[in-house]
Amino acid sequence: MNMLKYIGRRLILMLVVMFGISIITFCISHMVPGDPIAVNLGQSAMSDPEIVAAYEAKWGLDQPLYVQYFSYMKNLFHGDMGTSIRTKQPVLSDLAQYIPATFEMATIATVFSILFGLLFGLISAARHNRLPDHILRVFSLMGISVPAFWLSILLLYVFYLRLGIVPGSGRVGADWLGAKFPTGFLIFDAITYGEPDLLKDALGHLILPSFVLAASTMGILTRTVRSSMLEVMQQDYLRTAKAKGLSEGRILRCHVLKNGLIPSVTMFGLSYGSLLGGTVLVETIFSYPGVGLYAYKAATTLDFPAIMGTTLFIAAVNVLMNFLVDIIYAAIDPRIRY
Amino acid sequence: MRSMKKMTAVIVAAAMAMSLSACGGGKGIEKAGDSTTAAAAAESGESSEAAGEETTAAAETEEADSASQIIIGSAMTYTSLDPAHSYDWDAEMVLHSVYQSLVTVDPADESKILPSAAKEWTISDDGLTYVFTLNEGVTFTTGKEMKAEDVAYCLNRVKGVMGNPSFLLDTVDSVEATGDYEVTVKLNTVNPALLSILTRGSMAIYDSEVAAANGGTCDESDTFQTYIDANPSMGAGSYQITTYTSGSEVIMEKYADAQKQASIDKVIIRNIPDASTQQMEIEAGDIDFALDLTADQTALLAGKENLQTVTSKTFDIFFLMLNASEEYGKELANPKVREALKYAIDYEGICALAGNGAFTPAGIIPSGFLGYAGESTVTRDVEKAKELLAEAGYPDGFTFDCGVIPDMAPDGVSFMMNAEKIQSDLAEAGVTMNIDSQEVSVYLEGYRDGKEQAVIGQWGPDYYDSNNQLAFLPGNTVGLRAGWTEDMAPELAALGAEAAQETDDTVREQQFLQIQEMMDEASAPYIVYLQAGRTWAVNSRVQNIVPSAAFVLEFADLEVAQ
Repeated sequence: MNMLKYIGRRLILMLVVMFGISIITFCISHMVPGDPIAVNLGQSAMSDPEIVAAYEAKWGLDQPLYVQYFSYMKNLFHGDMGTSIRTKQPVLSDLAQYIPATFEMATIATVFSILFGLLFGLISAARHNRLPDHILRVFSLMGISVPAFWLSILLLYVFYLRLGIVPGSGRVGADWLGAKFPTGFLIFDAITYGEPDLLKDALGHLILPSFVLAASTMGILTRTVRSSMLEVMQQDYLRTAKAKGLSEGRILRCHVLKNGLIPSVTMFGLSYGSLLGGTVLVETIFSYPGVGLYAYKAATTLDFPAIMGTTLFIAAVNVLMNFLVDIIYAAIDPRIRY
Repeated sequence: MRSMKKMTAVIVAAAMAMSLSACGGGKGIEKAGDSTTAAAAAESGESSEAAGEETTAAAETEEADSASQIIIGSAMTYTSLDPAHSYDWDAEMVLHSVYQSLVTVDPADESKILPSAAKEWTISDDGLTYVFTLNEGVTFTTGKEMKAEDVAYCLNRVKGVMGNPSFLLDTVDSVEATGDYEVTVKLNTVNPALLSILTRGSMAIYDSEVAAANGGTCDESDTFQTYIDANPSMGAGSYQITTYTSGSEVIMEKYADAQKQASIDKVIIRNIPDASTQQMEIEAGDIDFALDLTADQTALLAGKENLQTVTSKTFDIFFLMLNASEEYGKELANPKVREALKYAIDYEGICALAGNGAFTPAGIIPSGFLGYAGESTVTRDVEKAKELLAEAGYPDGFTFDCGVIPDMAPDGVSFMMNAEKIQSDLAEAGVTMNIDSQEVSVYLEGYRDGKEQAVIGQWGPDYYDSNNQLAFLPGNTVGLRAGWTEDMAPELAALGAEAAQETDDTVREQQFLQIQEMMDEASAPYIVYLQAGRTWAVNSRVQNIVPSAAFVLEFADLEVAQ
């Protein structure tokens, strides 16, 4: 019952947080220097007062800020996120077009991060201060510090251009360009409609960008898992387990991993949100039509409805992930009770 | 363990349910070309029926395997392909291929106006009335025959929706269908550039019935853009857009009933924003054109097997704007200072950095336009620059700020690289130029309001006539951005106004040459340092490449070696 109460309270708080984010984003995006008219109209058109006046009226830019905000929120509650000033399409349909691509990339990147972050963290902890630990430390620090654009170009050059073992940029190969996918989630569509070629193609195009996207999170997770594992390894019950004669594998699996993973759960959750929002450079270099690039273009052209739409989407994912992490915490750690 | 099994079972069941629902209700995956009829016609009454039966792109009749196709890698700048709103240079190549305009230009010489939808035209003696006679029997991809009513609707829509290109028709009073195949355009003031304006992709002609049935109006309430960007195009050009995904790809298929038949069945334009990625894709053979490479990149690809480089001219001029107003220009408001800076710049060095096809024109009229004054004869003379600075009262130089958009590189010419080169050139003359990196929206706001002390700027003409360059004169659009008001050079402003309405090309040419001389004498607040070229890397299998400064590339002429 307590848990249900807690969930209810958190859901209400989530709405408050989203409301706060909407106000802050709206204010910041309108307060930054720059004029959306200057950037969205051509050089000659922006000097034509009639066109400028029509443009301001069309996009509501001639209204006071609070009127614009209330109008936006009113529409939002009716499921309308407005129309993008840049693409002239409803923001909702723009997001529906771009979210599946980013969602797939971020999900695969998260899988990479968790798998390799856990594995490397575990090995580092088990081989503490020995050669594997040193090697993995170098790799994890590289993952954290190497710029994504540089890693992207390097991997494309080696694995695509020189070795030819992965496809080039884009979301699909030439055979699938322009195809209409029922959900936009290519992996799901490929499996659902029995298209193994599409599945292979889509996964091939996801490997490098997902790996680049995962590199930083993977490095951080490796270090986090290693630290928490080492902390657990110092506990008395581990010495007891060893004294009982349990094998190293069993100790790692049943005692170290289970207890050491708890602090890492927060990292897993938060990393997903950051992966969704941090895809701009990777999407640019891999010509991947996702939310990151859409958000970047929206920001540079002061496309207010699109800025609001992408920010609220990414914020919602982050808030939701935080919520899930807290619930999972309670489920996996008997010491935590809500 | 038991709870884990339960959870797995739930996930599997959910996935199966989703699969089943998708299989049952959804249409499945549709590859491009699977449905070739113009969906645009679906809501358009008679023309839609015709569309289903008669109109198609060529893929309908050709086996996909034997169809020829090329893939173009391009950093797309456009977000719409609605002619009434689209105003980006790279959208021109798509619009030109997909739609006919009343007239077009010769890609070899853009000052030559050629017939297109109109087979002939007459201009009244007072220069205020143009009567166009259309070709008969031209059909849109929807099956409807092109008539004067379509032309009138499309041009009135451009003028009425108050979009980016609307200002182009400011001098147009009315466009009317005065017969089935006759269109009369009346002007409110003489505009010798009208024919050139009508060649623009924005002036495209499409099926007006489909437009009107799907939110199209000739005023600000128009909503047709949303429709046209989501459906196959309805023009009469050599190709039909079958798929357009904003920021991702454009797929065009040959229109079998077009007047000008294309050789290649399908043209795909892929958005590849990063130039390094374009370079790798063209090297790997996955794309046939890389349109946005820098000079360094094309130099690296030159001579590679299966690749060719193609250089095209542009009408884009790059300049250093020096604000002439005392308030914002400060030291730069002094004409002597501006003259000094002109001699401090290494033009050859900048052109070398910009790559193939770049050179320095003598004035604001680019090569290819009436009144072009030839290449600049000004060469770098640092000593002279120092002398002029001393005469101006700055023997020890001075410092000024120059606004630059760091990631802007139109035609592969990096603003930042230009700024750094000019900064180092000016430093030798004792002048310190602080590079003020700005976001594009901040830069454009300050530039438009005439509040920047200096900027690195670029001007791509709105249409291919020297009248467009008159914007640089005092009191005009660019002039005001440079703090150059009409009262600062009234004779120049008056000559500009005279040239804008002159219809005799011989007289116009002399006027434009004189304008540039006068600008030079007045040390106009711009130093034009570059007219850019474009260099593309192209797969050797592609032949008969006809580049154009106006519409970039003529797709219909392209051929692919088997």
